[in-house]
Amino acid sequence: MKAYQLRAEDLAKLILRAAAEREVWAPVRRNDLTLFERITDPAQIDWEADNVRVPLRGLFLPVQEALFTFRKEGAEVTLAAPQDEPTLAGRLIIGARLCDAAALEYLDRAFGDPLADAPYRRRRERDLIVAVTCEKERPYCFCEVASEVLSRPRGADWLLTRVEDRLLVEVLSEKGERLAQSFSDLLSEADSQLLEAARAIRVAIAGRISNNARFSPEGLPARLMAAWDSPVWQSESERCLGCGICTFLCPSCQCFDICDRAGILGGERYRCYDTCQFASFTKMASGENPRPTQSERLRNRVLHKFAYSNERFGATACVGCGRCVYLCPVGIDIREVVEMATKEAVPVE
Amino acid sequence: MSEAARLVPAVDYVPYPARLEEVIPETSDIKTFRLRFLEETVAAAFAHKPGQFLTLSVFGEGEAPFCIASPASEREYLEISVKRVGKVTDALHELAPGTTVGIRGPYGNHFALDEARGKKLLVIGGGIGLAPLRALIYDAFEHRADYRDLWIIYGARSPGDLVYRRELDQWAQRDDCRLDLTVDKGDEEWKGHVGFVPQFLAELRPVSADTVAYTCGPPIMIKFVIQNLLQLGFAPEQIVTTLEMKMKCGVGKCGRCNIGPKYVCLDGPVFTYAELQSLPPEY
Repeated sequence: MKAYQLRAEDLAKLILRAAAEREVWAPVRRNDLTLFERITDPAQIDWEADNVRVPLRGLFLPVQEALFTFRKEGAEVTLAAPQDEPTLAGRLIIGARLCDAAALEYLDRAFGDPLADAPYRRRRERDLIVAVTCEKERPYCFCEVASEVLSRPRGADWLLTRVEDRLLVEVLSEKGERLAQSFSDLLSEADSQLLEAARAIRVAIAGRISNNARFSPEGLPARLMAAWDSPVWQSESERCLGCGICTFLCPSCQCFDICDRAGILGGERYRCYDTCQFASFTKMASGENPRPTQSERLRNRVLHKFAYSNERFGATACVGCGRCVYLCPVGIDIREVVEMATKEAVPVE
Repeated sequence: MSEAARLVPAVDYVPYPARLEEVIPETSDIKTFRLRFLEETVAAAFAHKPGQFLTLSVFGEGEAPFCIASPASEREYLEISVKRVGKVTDALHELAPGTTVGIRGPYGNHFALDEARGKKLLVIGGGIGLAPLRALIYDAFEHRADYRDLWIIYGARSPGDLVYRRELDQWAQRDDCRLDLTVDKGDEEWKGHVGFVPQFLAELRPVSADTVAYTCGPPIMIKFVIQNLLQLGFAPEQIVTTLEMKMKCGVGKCGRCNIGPKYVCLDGPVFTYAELQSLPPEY
């Protein structure tokens, strides 16, 4: 794919021009958090913050969304599509971190064929994502070890890397190339010096966070499957509150529930986030539950991220953003759980 | 939202409207519901195979998955047999014929009857577990010459808990199949066998050679039926079961029905025992 350069001072111009055609969303400071919000002025963007609290996937798989509405008249029921979102032209989402973008690339697989998820796919086809290379790492970042996020940028349409007063624009998709065409007056071809400088920034971050993971990704799926009976699931889950924050704010978790909300005349069917950390997630009407305690539920979360997803989709479902690590109210750290569970286990041939 | 436009691979989770045509009481807590699509194009496109399931919407209460109990060749209507156990099933049991409901599907894999051609079929059901097997049994009746013996072993807690009573009588009179019934506990009128299905199976001693066994019922029954089939010499590949797991979306997206890397709604619900043995022990 192509690469361009953009003068740093022209970024605001580019954003304003994009905003004239479509909604532009970016990280915005809200009290002590940064969240994706619609902006009209590039000055609203919080470039300095840690990653957004609610990950990028929230813009593609909302916490809650109507699937359809229904009206009842006697025994008759009439269905209708939910009101169209006001963003039909497609949003430009700028300022996403590479971990969150890589998580979308995973979700593209999980929500893809066979039987692709229509609402998710519609937004993915419609929206444009401009990711940015992180300028500094955090102690909980382990993206490169978890999912080769820095060495294999993916999931976005553009990747911006700032090198002094220039920005490297790496085009990651065909949609991204069309976007570049529409700003051809602001972009010029990137020289090899700029490309090399941007690569060096990512290599340097990857090096600095290489010890953050605490576990080795080598042969991890098989080592984790061999740890099925490890006592670590029980011992580490004992202090779990079952709040589900590790999954609700995970950039690559996909689980949802489907429910009705209705009065006498009608209502709507909606879906909302659900989590494998709740007993109700797998408890059947008969009362049977294949994952009856927090121990089985912790094991499912970890194995889903690092083993099941690899077998099913050929990709690890953890991008190492660290949210579940620093947001867990009782300090359960997925990196330590993986390390402890696999330390003793020996994979069977 | 034209009906035809929605018959595409992408899933928008919008069900096809259908009319509840008939409610057939089976036992004190099980009813069979006969459903007919409102749109003919949908009815024509909805082609299921034995073992597949659908999701049924009771608008305002929600949606739940049910195996399709009617024969695949029956294209006029669909039937599901439902035990009253939760929110959606409670509401369904209260519905009057004529009510509009919603159907998505057909979902999941199916019984690989093609692979059983030329073999003997052994069908072992317990309670409402006969529902998915009923679709299989009718398929076998329709293509009876494709198989050798057809032997049905079915049981329930009591005579009153046996489902499809009128059909059981018909099957018993057929000379091209064998039906053996049992109940856990008889009553004054029950003249048949009394005992649990797995023990009854062990007493009947079906021959494993050239036989495929299909079983569905309560999890504890399936467990002991499989144990006894293995003792009778059945190989894990000759034992086929259909699993129950909590499901919502039916299309491998909502995340809850996984057993290890497999989704029961996509890769199942039908599994051979050999396949189950290769999965983590979480079912």
